Amino acid sequence: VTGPERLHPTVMAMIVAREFQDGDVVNLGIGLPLECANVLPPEREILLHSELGLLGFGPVIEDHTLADPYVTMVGNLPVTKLPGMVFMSHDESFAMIRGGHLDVAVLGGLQVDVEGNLANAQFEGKPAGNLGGAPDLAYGAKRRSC
Amino acid sequence: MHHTTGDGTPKILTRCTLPLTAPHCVSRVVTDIAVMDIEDGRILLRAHAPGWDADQIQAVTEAPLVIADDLHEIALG
Repeated sequence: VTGPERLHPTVMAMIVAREFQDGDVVNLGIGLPLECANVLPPEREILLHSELGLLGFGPVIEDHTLADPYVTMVGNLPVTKLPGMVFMSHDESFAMIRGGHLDVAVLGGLQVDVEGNLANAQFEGKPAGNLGGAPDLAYGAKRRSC
Repeated sequence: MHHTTGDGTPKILTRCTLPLTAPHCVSRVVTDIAVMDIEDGRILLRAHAPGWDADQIQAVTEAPLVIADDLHEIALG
């Protein structure tokens, strides 16, 4: 792949995250989108949502020996517990999505086209990268980017 | 998302070839070389990574890009 230098995933995440408004409930997909969890300034009040049943969590924990294995977002990545965060059941989490209570969904993308159609699932081989909550997020969230 | 696959195949297309996760849902795309908005069946190139110009981005994009009047370099901060 030729051409000038490409943006680092952290920079891409910063570009996406600066569109978030204080008070937004934001769901981050697997892959590049979840980088956004690590670039939110602490003074911002962005509530991160995971379909696994978390709301209001913090950055991904890189050192798994420091992590609570029961507090994970998509991709089984352990995340930081923050004061005031909420744990909910899977059905309540999807009720949030389907009920239109998410402000932003940042979705991973394998392909996007001129009509705004999104393909982001690999159906063979990998346990992660399958469809997951993406179809719900693509319609439930008020704003969608990828 | 990355603008192309690891081998350089475009991911921003006239029509997706993989099974759709959801139709008509994406309005903003941030890649490692560009920021684009999708509206009214066209892809508007709004910002480019440092060192890239519109022609270079079009060369690795299968879909035709419409250049925004205020196309600018991506700036942080």
